[in-house]
Order: sequence, then C-alpha cells, then structure tokens
Amino acid sequence: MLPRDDTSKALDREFAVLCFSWNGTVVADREVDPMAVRSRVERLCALGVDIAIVSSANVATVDGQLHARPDVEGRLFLFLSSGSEVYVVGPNGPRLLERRRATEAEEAQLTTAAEALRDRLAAAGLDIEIIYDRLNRRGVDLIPEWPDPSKPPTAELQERVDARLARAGIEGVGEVVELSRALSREAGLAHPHIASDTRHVEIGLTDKSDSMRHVLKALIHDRGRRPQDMIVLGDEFGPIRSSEGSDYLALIPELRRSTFVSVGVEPNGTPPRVLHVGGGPDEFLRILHDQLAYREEVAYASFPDPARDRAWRFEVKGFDPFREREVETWLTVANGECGTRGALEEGSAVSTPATLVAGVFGDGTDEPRLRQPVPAPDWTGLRLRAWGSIVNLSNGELIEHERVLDMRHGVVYRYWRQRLRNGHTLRVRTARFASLADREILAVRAEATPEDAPGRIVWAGAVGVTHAGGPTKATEFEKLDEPGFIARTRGRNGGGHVLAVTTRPAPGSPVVRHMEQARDVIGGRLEPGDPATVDRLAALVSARTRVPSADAARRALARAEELGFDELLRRHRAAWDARWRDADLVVDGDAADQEALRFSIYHMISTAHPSKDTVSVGARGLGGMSYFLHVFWDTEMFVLPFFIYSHPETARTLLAYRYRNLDGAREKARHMGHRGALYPWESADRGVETTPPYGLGPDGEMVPILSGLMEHHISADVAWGVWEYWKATADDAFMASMGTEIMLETARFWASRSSVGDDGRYHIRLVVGPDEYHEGVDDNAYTNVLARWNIGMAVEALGWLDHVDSGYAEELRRRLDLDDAEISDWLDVMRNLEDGFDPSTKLFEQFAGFFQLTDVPIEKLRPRPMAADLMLGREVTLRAKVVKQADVVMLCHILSDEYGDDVARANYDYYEPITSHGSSLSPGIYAAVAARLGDMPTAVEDFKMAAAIDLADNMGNAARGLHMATMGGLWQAAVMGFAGLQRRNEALLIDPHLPPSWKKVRVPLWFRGARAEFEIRRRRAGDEVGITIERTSLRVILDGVERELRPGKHRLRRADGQPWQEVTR
Amino acid sequence: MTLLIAVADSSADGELVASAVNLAKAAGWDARAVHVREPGGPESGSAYAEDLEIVDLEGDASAELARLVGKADVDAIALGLRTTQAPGMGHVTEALLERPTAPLLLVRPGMRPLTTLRRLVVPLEGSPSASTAMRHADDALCARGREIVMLHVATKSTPGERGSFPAPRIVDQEHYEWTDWQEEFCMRFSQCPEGGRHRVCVRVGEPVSTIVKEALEDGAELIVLSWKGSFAEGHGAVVKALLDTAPCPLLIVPAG
Repeated sequence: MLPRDDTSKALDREFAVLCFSWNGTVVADREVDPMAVRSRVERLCALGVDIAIVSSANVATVDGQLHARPDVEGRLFLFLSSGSEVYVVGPNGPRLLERRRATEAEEAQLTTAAEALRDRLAAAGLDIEIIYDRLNRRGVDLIPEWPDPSKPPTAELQERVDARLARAGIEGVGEVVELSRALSREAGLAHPHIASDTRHVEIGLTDKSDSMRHVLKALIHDRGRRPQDMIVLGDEFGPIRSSEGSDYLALIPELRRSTFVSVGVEPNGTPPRVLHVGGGPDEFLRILHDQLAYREEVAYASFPDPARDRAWRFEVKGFDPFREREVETWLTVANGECGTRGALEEGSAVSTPATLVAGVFGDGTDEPRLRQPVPAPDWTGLRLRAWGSIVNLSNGELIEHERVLDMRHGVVYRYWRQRLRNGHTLRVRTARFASLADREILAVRAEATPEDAPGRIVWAGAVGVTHAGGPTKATEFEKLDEPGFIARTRGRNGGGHVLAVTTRPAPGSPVVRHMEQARDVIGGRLEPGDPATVDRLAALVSARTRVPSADAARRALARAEELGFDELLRRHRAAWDARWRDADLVVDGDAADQEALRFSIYHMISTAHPSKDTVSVGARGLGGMSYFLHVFWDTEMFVLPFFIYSHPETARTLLAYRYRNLDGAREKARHMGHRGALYPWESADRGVETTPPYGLGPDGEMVPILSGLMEHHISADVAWGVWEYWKATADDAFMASMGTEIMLETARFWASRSSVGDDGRYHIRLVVGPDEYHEGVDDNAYTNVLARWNIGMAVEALGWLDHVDSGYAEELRRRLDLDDAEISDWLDVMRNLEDGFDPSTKLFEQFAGFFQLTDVPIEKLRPRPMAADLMLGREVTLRAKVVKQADVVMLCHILSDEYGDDVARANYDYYEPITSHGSSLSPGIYAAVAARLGDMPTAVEDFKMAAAIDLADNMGNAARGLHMATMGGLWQAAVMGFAGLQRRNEALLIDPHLPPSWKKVRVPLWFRGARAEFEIRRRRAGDEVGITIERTSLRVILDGVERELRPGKHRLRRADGQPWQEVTR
Repeated sequence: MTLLIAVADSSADGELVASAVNLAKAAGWDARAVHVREPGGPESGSAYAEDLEIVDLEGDASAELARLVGKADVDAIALGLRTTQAPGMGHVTEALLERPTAPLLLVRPGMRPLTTLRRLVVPLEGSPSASTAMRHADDALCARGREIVMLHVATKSTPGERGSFPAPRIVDQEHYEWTDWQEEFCMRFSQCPEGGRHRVCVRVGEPVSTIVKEALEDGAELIVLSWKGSFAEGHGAVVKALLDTAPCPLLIVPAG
C-alpha cells in the first residue's frame, strides 16, 4: 500500500528515536537474514540515532537474527520478553541492563492460571499446549498442529484458529483472552498482562506496554527528548478478528505525541493515532532508509569543494611516482607558522610527508653553525581499510586520481577512485589546509565511499615519523584525554614544538571512533554510496628556544575542536579572501602566466608570517628541507617587495626579523674584524652565520663555500629592504624604532669594510657579488654601489630622525657610539668609493678586471637556463665573461630611481647575452628590466623561464622546496616590468609594457597609505590605465612629471609615443 | 630467471660464456646454452660451453632466440659481438635489438671480462623511460659489496619527457643543490630493495666517450643500458656506438 500524502508528510522528517516491533514488522519470519536492516541500524546508530526494538521474543531470537553490532554501545536497545528485559547492544553484542524476575509465588500463579485455561479449553474439547519456558509468562498455543511455529500469523492461520475455537464453542481469540484474564485473577494475579498474536495467548506479569514505558524513560526522558521525537513502527495495531493486535499495547497514553506507523495488513483498520502505510518489512526498510538518507545528505553536503574557476585551481592529474615529490612540494599548505607537504594521506613508497616548522632549529651536525630545522611528526597520516584490505595506490587499479590546490582559499583537495584487488571500487576525497585564520591549526577532512558493494570502511589515524630528518633530539608521545595524541619534539640544542592531533567522525557521517592499538580508528559498515568521513585536526605550537608546554597545544586543539572543521575552514577561507583582495594579479589573456603568478603569490602568502618576527621567509619556503629554511638575501630583494605593496604588515615583520637579529650581524662583523653589522649570508634562529664552510659538489667532492665569508652585499640588501619599505609605506614609526638603526649599522660596516688603495680611492676587496661564478673579486659594482647608497641613505635617515625626534636620534647616537667625525668618515668613503662606472659607455664593470676576462662564444651559453660552471667547467667560468645571474642589471633594477633608462639599457645590452641564468634569481629580474626597456620578446622569454623553474615538467627543481625568490621575481616582473609600476622616491611611476598575450592586468597596491587598484590594458596603439584610489591621495609620475591623484576613479590613456592624458571614461 | 647463452661455435664463445656465466652467478640466475644452426652454419655448438647443457636448434637464429624468450622460461639472452676488426653488430644482434623482448648481454672479444662483478655502470639521461636499466640493475644485480654507479652525463639538451630529472640547469647554492639533486635522483630512478651501494656520478661531455671513460676509470665490469629498440635516425646512437667501443660487456635492457 502506498502511503497517503499526509502520511508521507508525517514521515518526511528526522526522528531521533526509532522504535519498532520485530516479527512481522522487520522480518517476515525467523529464517530471513535482515542484512539490509542490520547495516542501516548500525549506520543510524553511528549517526546518533537511538533505536529500540520491542518484542515478546527473547534475546537469542532477536539478536541472533539481527546481529547488529554498532560501533558504540548506547544507541541500540532491545526491549524483550514482553517488557521483562532490557538489553543494550554494542560492538561486542547485547548486554543485559534490566530484567524483571517473577517471585516463586508469581511463577506458581502463572502456572496455575495457564493450566486452568488449558483445563477449561480441554473441557470444551480443545487440545492446546502450554509453553512454560517463557520469562514471566506462560504461553498457550491454540493450534499446536500448525506446521511452522516460526512464521508470524497469517490470514490462513487466523481462520484456522477461529475455526478450531468455534468448534469448541468459543467466539474467537478475544474470548480466550478474556477467559485468561479472569482465570489469572482467580489464580491470584492482581494485574495479569494478557496478550495474543492470534496463535498464542500469553498470561504474563509484563507486556509490550511495559517495554514502551522503558523506552519512554530511557530514550525520551533521560535523553532530554520529547515523545514527538520518536517514531514507533509495528504491523498489528488494529484488531485482529476478535482480539486486539499484538502492537496495540504499544499505544500507551504517554506517547500520544509520538508517530505510530503500521506496515502490517491491518485487515480491520488501525486506531486513529496510527498511520497505516502497509507494505510489510519492505516498507519498514524503506522508512529506515529514509531516516538514514536525511542524515547522510548532511554528510554529503558538508564536504567542501574547490573553486570552480580554473584560473584558481592548480591541478595535478594522475599519479606519477617519478614526479611525486615535486607534486608534494607544489601542494604544500602553509601559514607562516608551519608548512605541510602535499603527501598522500595513506602514504606510498615514493611519498615524503613532512611538516616543517618555521623558526625551530637545532644543531644538524657537530658544527654548531649548521642550524637545521626540526620538523614536526607527520600529522596527516590516515590509513584506510576497506573490505578488509589496506587501501593505497598499489592495491589494484587506479581509476582516477586528481589533486587540486585551490589557490584562492589555500586548500588542497584530492579525488581518487581505486578498484581494489578484491574487485571492489572505492571513492576517496580529502581536503586539507593550514589555517591562515588561526596559524596554530591544521586540518584535513577525508571521506571514503564504497561504490559497488557494502563493506566495512575504516580510517586509522596515527602520528608518524617525519620523512624530513632533521636534528631532533627527542620526541615524546602521550595520549590525549580525548582520543588523540600529543607529540613534544625537542631539537638538538634548539627549540621545539608540540603537536596535538585528534581524529573524529565528520558531522553526519555514519562512522564511529574507537581506539585500536594506540590509533584513532574510525569507521563503520557502509552501503554503496555511503561516505565514511573523518576530520583530523592538529594543533602545532612552537618556540624558538624551548619546547612549549603540552597544555598550549591542548588549548589550541580544544579551540579547533570546538569550532569544528567546517567553521575552521570558513574562517580560513575568509582570511585568504582578505589577503587576495590586496594581492591578486588578474591577467587576462595568458592562462599560463596567470597560473604562475597566482601559484607564486599563494606560496609567498603561505610562507610568510605577518606578525612573528622570530621567523622569516626561507629560500625554499616551508615545503621542503632544502636550504634548511635558511634566510638569504632572497627575502629582502625578491620577496619583500611583494609584501611591501600587498601586505605591509608582513613586510614590516620580515624586517623586524632582521632588526631582532642585528646583534648577530654585529657579531659577524666584529668576528671578521669590521665594525657595524654584517648580516649572515644564511640566517636561521639566532641571526648568526649558518653558511657551512664546505659543501659537496656534483660528484660528492668537498668544495669550499665562500659565500658566508665573502658575499657581503647582503648587509646592503637588508638596508635596501628597509628603505624600500619606508618609502613605499611611509611607516615612520618603523623607521624611527628599527629602520634607522639597521641603516646606520650597515653603513658603518661598509665604511669599515672599505679600504683606501694606492689610487687614493676606496675599494672593497675580496667579495662575491650576486654573480657567484666569480669569487674573491675586488670592487664588485653591485656591492660597492649599494654600499655607497647604504651610507648615503643612512645619513639621510639619521637626518630625518634628527628632524622628527631629535631626542631619540641623540639617544641612538649615544647607544651606537656614533659621532659626527665617524659620519664624516663615512661620507668620505661614500664619495670616493670605486664603482666601476664608465660615464662614456654608461657601463658598470661588474668587478675590477671583468672586462679583461676571456670572451665565451654566446652559443656556448645556450640554451638557457644553464649551469655554466657545470657545463663549461668551473675553471672556465672563473676566467670568462660569463655571468650567473643578474648582477649589474640587478643593481639597475633596484636603484632604478638613481640610474635612468640609459644606464639600464647600456648595461642590459652588455650583460644580458653573457648571463647564463644559472640561478633561479635571475630570469625574473631580467624580465622586469627587459620590460622596462621595451624588449618584450626577451621579457616574455625570461618571464616564462622563471615560471618554469618550479613548474616545468622535466626539471624537477621543486622536489625539495620551492624557489621563493623566483616567485618574488615573477611578481616584480609582472608589476614593475609589465604593469610598469615602480617607486620613484615617494611617488609611483606608471609606464606599462604589457606582453602581447596580455589583454589587461589588474594590480592592487598599497602605497604610502593609499590603496590603489590599477587596471592596465593594451589598446591597438596605446595604453590605458584605470585607477581606483581609496583612503588617501596617490602621487604618481606620468611622463616624468609628478602629480597627485585624489581618492576616486581615474582613467589615463596614452597613444604610442604620446604623453599620458586623463580621460573621463 | 634464466640466462640463455647463444653460442656460435667460434673462438669468441669463450669470452661470451665466461662473462655470461659470471653474470648469471652474480644475479642468481640459471645459465643455459643454445646453438642455433643457420643454413650453411656449423654443425654443433661451441666447445667453450662444455659445462652447460646445449640445446641445438635450426633456423633463423634471431627468430629462434626470440621464440625461446617468448615460450620458454628464458629471461635474458647473451650474445657475442663481432670483434673490433669487424665492426657492426651482426645480423642476429641487430634483429634482436630491433625487437627487444628481454635483456641482452653483449660481449665483444677483447672486452674486459666480467668476473665477480664488483662494479657496474648504469648511464642515465635522467628520464623515466631510460631508467628501466636502473630498475633492472636494482632488481637483479644490487648486492652487498657491489657498487652501482649511476652515471649521468649532462649535455646541453634535456629530455623532454615528463618526470625527467637531468642535472640541474640552475644551481643557486651548490652546497645545497647538489646534495638535494643526488638524493632526488636516487629516489627517482633507483628503488633498490637491498640497500646496495649506489654512487651518483655527474659528468659533462659527449655521452659515448664519457661512458667509456668512466667505465674504464672505474674498472666497471658491466654497463647496463636502457634501449627503446630503434635504430632510426636520431635514435640508438649511444647504444650503437657502445657496441663498438664499450670496454666491458653490455647489458641492454628494453626500455619501459
């Protein structure tokens, strides 16, 4: 029978308690295996639904047939033996909670009553049998010859019973019931419970109404529910011929607001409170399934999706064991605090999962200088079992595998279908992120769904050993009070961190958690299409010089658990939205360039911490152990500009890291016999030099490493970063409190580092410039010019401080022991420092003697990029005019407000052909300069060369970490080169040179308190720039003339070769 | 695993059989010999393979050998090459190389003989498909006390194949880059289950002469190479040249 509309409406909602009778409702007879009911009961229990089974049968009958084993005890209850027993069922089967035991007197009264009934019926010529072995009851079988005692009553049985009774002059079962009641009272039973299922009449001390009162107490009142939260299903609420149906007694008054539904035939109709849907056990199963489906819809709906716009998706399809470590690096999720490589959750032979923690270092070797990061244990490990098999990419056949980095929201998604060796197919999805909203939190949601067969699907979480190695002194594991673990890791002679991890069923997923061999194990028996979904939450708290308390991680984890995965994700996404608003470069016309830029910006934002000045951006980010998270000039010269113009707070923090480590720089200068501050070439947690003196070459041979000894331009690079930040942000407070001191101490170093030569000029000898093919050179132009600039800006900064805060300026002078005589000496050095510049040619000689080196045929330096020292031999590159990376051209780029296009062009033309781009730092800067000079073919070629450094299919450069400087270089090429937005003192030059494939580009920038959004497009014979300015006016330079643009919208146009004009639309 | 030694009843059989038997010992394979009498060829098998069971067959030698690989439990074939005085690989070798189905051990008279196989060289261009040789070396020949030299000859051209990992074209800080590159190179192209001794060696230059030089200087007893089975223009030049110039036996493994 189809349900009526109102019946459907009544059933179209979730019930917190499902109560049903057994025989006739759930099963047609005692022989069927109710497998479908079993799995649904277990899944409903896993979803938090309470289930009550009410029956006159005993536990062996009901449990023996259902055999449901929920993963937790406390959801499935059996109210059996007609109200005399209550069982709760858990993973290990039923456990008796309550049993009514008849007294000896009651037992005697029951027997007396039953035998009296037998005698009465026998006297009427009716042969019946008494069933004595029922708890608190005596059953009277009215038709012993009926062949199949296990079958529930049928119409045929009813007719046969009625006929049999009629032959004895009895008008149906109803009369026997009444007779039983009377005889029971005669036997001394004050409140006999008489029930009948047509075939039997039972005389007992309890009946189904007692079961229902147990249900009411245990599952309604004790659990704070209301009767209307329960549905009661049966098959015989209405009268059967002359007697009440077997479920009629369930209709107790206290449950009048519950929903009663009959799936039985109900030949004589049902009481008004009961909805009759008919259909028997099949219909019962459908109702049960609907209850499951309501909840599982929640589970399905709650799995997040990545951005649909392909321009925000960095997709990796399939699985290539050769490339897997590159992929892991690409798909790193990080938040400045830590970074987790995108390794497969279940692991593989080629996986290298690792979580790197910013700022936590230890002694990597016996050489205390060689500080190495202390990685955290792997928190992502989630092992999967399905149908009894371990699930991984090696088990059977990979049908689909795709990973998507949603760059917009910093989430890595995974989609995987695997046909296992056992023939079954499983679908898996995961989503993981390192929260940008709460940087101590990491999270992954993992879902596994059987596609073609029911089965037990189990996730097992564990905290594993990192694959990153590192100087870990000890890791101590302890259990959390709640399921989960804490791992406290101490670095050798360094800091430490605490990782707290827990795994739990995702809301709405029909799985439950239990502990198994010290692991979180979560799973359940699932039907095809049902997802087993878990949330793994981790909290990572670190400290630079100690191991934080476990409580700190506990608190962070509790915070995460309270919010839950979905809310954590919502906040994380919101944080990314906010960052992209001021950072996104939108390129129209070249999807590959768009992807490279967003990929770069995503990783730069992920890697830098906006407020923690004990950490900075390591050369290879937080996705790999390469370069040991050490901080080089890459940060100030390549990455910092992105933050200066998109998120000044982060830029300030990166510079504050340098200020915090000023003492380390002073120590290095002193150690080398100089004054002032010489920043370490490689910096870690203490601000001291961490460059090793020796390293291994291509064949594993020991080679001396001179950069720590000679690559001194880093001090001027830091000063350049300070100045650039100040001029672009107008953050006077920073300049007063930190920046000026850095400028002065680095200037002091240069004055100390310079020496007077026989020619009466100052020289800086024995250095390594950016072009590291030539070591131990004199008067590297980049170094000397930047040193001179450093001194000049330091003096200017001090003058500014004298003007704005003379008291603090005086205090600073005192503290630095800086007098006018010393400043006068600096200025002397500045005026007389050799810079290798030839005004006639406008060329800088890269270092003294460079122009006398051997020429190398250009074709020997092709194709680029080329590691020329490897391909040509180190002895060749030492003596040849071969340049590793932008050196003089870098100088022209960073001091573009001092050296005009004529100087830039002369040096670009000279050095570009002989540059091998053997450094990842090179092509991005060359692209920026080429664009500035209008050499668009080279600019585009270099831009794409830079983009390929991390993303090329056949180079594998990213396997051990990403190239943060390349990413910063790409941003600079796009913004300063193609969009042509360059700082000139306190104004912004606008001079775009878009690549031919770019129709337009959108660039948001912060500049001196103004937020500006540029939309630059190339028209057929000219350029057009739309500018939206907020907060304050923006000073711009157009055609060499500085002017002020007020907040609001502006539109500029210039025809090729013509000046800019502001237009109204 | 069985190595089938194709004897030719020539004086060169002695060096072929000795190297092949020693390779079989080193790899733990069985060794058998076969003599295929081609029309007009000698009547019986080599006197140098007296210790081995020799199966005599008749017909086209390359076809028969290929058939044996396909039908019998033969996993590799050993063949003799012509002497350097008679350049060229011989029609049987050429035919088997053009349709490679199993690794071929090629021994030319005058080569340094393969004895205990203490060191072998595996040239790797850094592409996944060319790394089959390394997998074969790892699976069959990796053992305690034996060194596998993973020789990468860097050239100006880089393999275009996805997943390739040639010597880096950019080296920012060499003390990090080379260590990282070597570790990744090993992880990418070697999955040695025995934990054998592997040495990554990077050389720059023309591949053939560099491989020969390295094998000579290292005292290698075997060169293991991947082979795609084509002598078409632009293909197979390295293998073809090494057949004439290799200082030690070659094990040519069909590329994956």
